[in-house]
Amino acid sequence: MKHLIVGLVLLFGTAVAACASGHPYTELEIPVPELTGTHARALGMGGAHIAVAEDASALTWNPAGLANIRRIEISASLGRGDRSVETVWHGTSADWGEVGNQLGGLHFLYPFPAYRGSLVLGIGVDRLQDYALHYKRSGVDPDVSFFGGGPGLLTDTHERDGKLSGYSAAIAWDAGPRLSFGGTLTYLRGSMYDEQTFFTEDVYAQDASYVSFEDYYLLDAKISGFTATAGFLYKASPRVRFGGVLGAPRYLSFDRYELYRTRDRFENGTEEITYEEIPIYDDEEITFPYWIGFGVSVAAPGAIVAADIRHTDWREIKDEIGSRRVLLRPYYRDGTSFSIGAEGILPFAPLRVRAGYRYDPAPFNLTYIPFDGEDVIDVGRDPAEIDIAIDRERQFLSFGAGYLFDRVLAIDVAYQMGRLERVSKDPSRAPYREERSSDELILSVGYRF
Amino acid sequence: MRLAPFVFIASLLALLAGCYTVLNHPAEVALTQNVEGETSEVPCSDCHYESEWFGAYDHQLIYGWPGLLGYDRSDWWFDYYRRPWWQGPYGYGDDWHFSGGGPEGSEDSSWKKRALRRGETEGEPAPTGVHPGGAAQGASGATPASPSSGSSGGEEKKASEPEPAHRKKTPRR
Repeated sequence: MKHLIVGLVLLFGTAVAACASGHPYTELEIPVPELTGTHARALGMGGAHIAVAEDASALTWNPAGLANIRRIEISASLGRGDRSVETVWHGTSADWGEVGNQLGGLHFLYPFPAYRGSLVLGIGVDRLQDYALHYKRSGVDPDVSFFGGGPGLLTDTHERDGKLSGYSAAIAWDAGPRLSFGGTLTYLRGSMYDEQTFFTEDVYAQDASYVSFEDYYLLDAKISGFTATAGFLYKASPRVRFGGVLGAPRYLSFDRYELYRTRDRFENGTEEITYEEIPIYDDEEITFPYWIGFGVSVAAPGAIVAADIRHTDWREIKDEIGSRRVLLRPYYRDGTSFSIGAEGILPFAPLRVRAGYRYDPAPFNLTYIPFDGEDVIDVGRDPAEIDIAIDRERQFLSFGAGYLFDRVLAIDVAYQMGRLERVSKDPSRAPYREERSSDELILSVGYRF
Repeated sequence: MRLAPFVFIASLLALLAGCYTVLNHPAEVALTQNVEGETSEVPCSDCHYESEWFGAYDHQLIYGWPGLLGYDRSDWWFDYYRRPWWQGPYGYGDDWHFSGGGPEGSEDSSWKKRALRRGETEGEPAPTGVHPGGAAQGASGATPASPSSGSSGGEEKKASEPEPAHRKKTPRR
């Protein structure tokens, strides 16, 4: 996928570099692993689940939590996501989003009959990542000459679809009456279809020949990879648990097909299209770094309160295209997120209600890059780039509920809404701000034999 | 295989941590008995009268941890989250079996199957093992604070605790 960046810098650079002053460098933003909403109970508690996980969510949150499971479980989840990005560029706003439904996960858990302690196996498939993105920015840069010496309307769109699924196998056991361990091995498989269009239109009819220029870039990739997690769960008392998880690097390999196309439209009604397939580089390999998380949960009569903290040094992302390494480090940062959640267990009905909050800083440092800047792929960040700072860090609020039917069938639902705002540090030279929002609805069904 | 170091280190740590889980009953303990020519299971309560699965007040004394008894069984979610699937549907105090709640001596009893897998046959006298009246083995395998071992807490509890209805004093040969 980072070839996308290379391609854009090389091709976009030669095609348009002389025409525009700059743009927010969103192309460098890799969709990094995130806490996903494949389990409604976990999501409803804001993702504070490392010390709570006692259902199929343990496969992704903390495999040691599987040791808490005493019944054979089959579960599935469905999700509905609404993501949108609102941008303001050169004073012009653009808003684009899309709603999509998806299968969140399917799991089977088997606890072995034990005379003492616990031994539980679990398998499952989860949609670990949704690559969907619908991004648009549009505006007129008055300082840039496109057509006959005048500015043009710039409209850049980025439309991406795809998913990454994880096929997991996990084991958990008790190493002591209070201590459990667990591990998960996950094979990753997915696809990505990514289109970016950079469109410049002579809206002021200043040019006698051209109507518009368009640069189109397509990436169609098959993704495979693997990762693993290991965790522990310590029951300090019947009401207090501590958990910890270590996530191994997530290794992904992209088998790509790429296409670059230009389309110039003329005043006489004709157009000129050129295609170029881009087998420039070998397949791309991205390795996301280790992550570590700790959680605590306290159960009071009628309620559970939990908190998690996770740390990932996103600067350690490695991206290699063939033998070439992309210098992403300047564009990513250390990230520590925390979640807090609560669950109320109602006494008069088999009903639980949940709420949670998650503070999860975006790992990507967005910058505003001049088109005549250096090739950041090889030399790193261009000194001329302008930071687009985080105005409001990424935060999520969630709510949920679960109802138990006939002691064996649990249906959980959760709703999560998240926001992120970025604003340029130098609006006069880099007039850009954006707000990203996501709304997710998750439904999980678990049957225990 | 880039995950190899992670998997190797995690496996090593897991081995060092050891395992508390016990899937099979100690082989030297008889699980079946032959009474007047009829083979039947030895009631679990003969040995485990004070274990975590049978009334288990001593579990707290042994581990400082009440086990399943620490949970409110009147909780709507107890069955879903806490009760093992191989335990009967009515939990403690019922004559539950390892096979999943079948009646005592039923053909699907996995305890019986396990005993048979060890070379016993139905109708044969069960091997003599640890005497139920001897030093009872707690759930941890350690000697529990049973009344016979002199734990005052256990004695008090036992003295005040009515004998469970499921406990059967079957005469043995």
